[in-house]
Amino acid sequence: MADDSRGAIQIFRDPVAGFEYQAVCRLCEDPECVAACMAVALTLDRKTGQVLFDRNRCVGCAMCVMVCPHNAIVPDRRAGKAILCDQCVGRDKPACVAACSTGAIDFVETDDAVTKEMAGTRK
Amino acid sequence: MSNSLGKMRSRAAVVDLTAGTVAYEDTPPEVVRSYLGGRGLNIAYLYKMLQPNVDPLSPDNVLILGTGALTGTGAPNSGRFNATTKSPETNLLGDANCGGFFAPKLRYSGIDRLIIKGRARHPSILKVEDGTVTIEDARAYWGMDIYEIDTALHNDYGQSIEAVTIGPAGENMVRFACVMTGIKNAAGRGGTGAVMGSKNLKAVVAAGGPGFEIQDPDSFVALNEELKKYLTNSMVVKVLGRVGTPLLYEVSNHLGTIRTRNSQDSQFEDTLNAEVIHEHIDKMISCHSCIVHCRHRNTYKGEGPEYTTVGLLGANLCIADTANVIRLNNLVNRLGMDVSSVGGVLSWALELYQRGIIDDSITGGPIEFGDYDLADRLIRSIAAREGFGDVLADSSQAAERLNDPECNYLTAIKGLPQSDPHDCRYIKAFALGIATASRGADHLRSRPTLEVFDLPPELLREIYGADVDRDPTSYLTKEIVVATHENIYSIVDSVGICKFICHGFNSPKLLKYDHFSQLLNAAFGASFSIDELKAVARRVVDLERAFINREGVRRPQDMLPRRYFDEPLPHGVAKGHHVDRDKFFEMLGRYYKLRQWDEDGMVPKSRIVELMAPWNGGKEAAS
Repeated sequence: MADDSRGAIQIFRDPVAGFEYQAVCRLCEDPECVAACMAVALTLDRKTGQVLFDRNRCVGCAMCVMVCPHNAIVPDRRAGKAILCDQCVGRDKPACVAACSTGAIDFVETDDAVTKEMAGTRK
Repeated sequence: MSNSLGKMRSRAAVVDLTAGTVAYEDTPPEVVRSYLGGRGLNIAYLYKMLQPNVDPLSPDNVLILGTGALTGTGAPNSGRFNATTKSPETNLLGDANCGGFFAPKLRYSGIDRLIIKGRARHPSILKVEDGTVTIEDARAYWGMDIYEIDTALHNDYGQSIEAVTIGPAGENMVRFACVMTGIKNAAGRGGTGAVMGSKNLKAVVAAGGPGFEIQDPDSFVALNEELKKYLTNSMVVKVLGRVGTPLLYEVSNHLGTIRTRNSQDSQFEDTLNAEVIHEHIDKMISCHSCIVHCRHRNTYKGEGPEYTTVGLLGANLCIADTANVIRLNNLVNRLGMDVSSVGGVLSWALELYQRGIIDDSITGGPIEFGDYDLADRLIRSIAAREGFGDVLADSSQAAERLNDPECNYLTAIKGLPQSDPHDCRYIKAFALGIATASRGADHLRSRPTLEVFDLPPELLREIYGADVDRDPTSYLTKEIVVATHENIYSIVDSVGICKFICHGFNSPKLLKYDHFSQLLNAAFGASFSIDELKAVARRVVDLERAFINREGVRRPQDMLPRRYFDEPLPHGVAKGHHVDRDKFFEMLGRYYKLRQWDEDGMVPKSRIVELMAPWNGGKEAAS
């Protein structure tokens, strides 16, 4: 369905104050959503640091929505499931990276300087 | 017609604010096929619903907010809607296209088109959610400016809503008040906001809902990625994304065609060049699904300015200070008015005063070009309809009170002040384009400026399907040029995509009919051929013309401002050029012939029957 409120990235804009906030999974090192998920729909891949989401296992309890410190998980009230970034596992390039026309968003796997810098902003 | 619509649907909510009722209808498939959405479907509804000669500010007028056929699909730059009504500025067609984020949200909320009639007893808001429209009390919001109402609605209805609003100018029925969304995006032309104000409607809030179905999301996303790559390689897309539309200021200034001192001059200061403007810019931002991102966030708590603003609030008022022009831009947006008409009407008054045609008895004191503080004061008084501002708020309809009954010093056509800061005495196709534009002197209906690029003849033949004269000052074949641009822009406005990625607007490349058909077919599993889309384009242009014919427009109304005929341009490349009356009218005659209108510029009755046939479910004759 076309509906941007059911995207894994939510952008909040305040044009009067002059800012945008992009609510997107920041790949916390110790993700509270994984700890909170009783259905084991959310797991942490320790090798890559990715939070993986098995939508079939999700029971729609919205615990992850409540604990996420970045507002990066939204409830899909129609489907009764959580919506969050699934890292586009299986795609060559995450869909958001392919769609972005400014290069504001990228997907970096290696432990390079940028990743380290970004890690500083993780929880 | 053999094509299928696939999953393409269009749902309308008809709101009667007098009765406080809402009715819902699915637009008949034949009508959707014939007019697509956005500007096309809006005029199909307006022509059918509106009786001729109604007062635009009366409850009998109808205001239509309609999303494009591709709006919200994720197709490039597809975040747009049209606001369509009978204009209180011209008493003719008021139709304005607008970006931002509202249109996709309205569609996701389950309604593609809002048709608003009547007048609410007290200030009201329409809330659209889950396919349902409710009418809510807005007394607490009345009096707020555009910034205040946007903030208040997000605080009260939730951060994820989107809204269209009016400011004080709309409430006070200034004849060029806009319907706005966010703090800058505007359905700018023709006074759509005044109509909203006349209906006691402060805002429409889209709060979300079921969304809508895309036929095959994976292949549609793949198509969009392919188009994104094609489009972002374009030089003009890159430049627009870096500095926005002010890049055109320097081009016009170099040619000696930047409207200056109410078109008494045609060249102005470099302080309004794009690179100078850019020093006052925080960052570039975008509308929904946009790959261009041409909108500025400036450092004076606002968004913009566009080329139109720097031209009409800068050069045309002789205000050279960059920061001050941006401040005026922010003020006009905050009050919810059309910068084009504000600039055009102010400069008109300034010249009338300069010539002694009006004096202090009406203005309340001296008014002169180049006075920023005066411009600021007058803009506020227009929005509030106070003193002299109350006169100016009537736009061209103030002509008698300003002792200029023929509008000899107002750069306007059909009562609408010209939007583009480009003086049309040089490029003759441009002159024809603003003369025939269905909503009055406006560049967004055709803007045939590819000619200044000196393109090779074979490319011109490919674009226009005929051999056209490459000389921008020639009158020959320009009817073909104008009609070609008008046609494709009526499609891009009907699918809800931005002109900045449309073929012909700034570039001989970018999206053409085949791309639009690909997108519609991929998004919905529809089957639109290129020829069918071209037929839609002609329908939209003809029906808009039939609408203004019905309101009294004939050949004499397709008339350029007097100055364009009588006074040669004073500066630059264009020095000495003006428009020759006889040649202009010959060109206009050829244009009517090409359009298959009669010699008086009337759409034949048989054609109108054809245009309205889809409403009767009837098969349409070949077009």
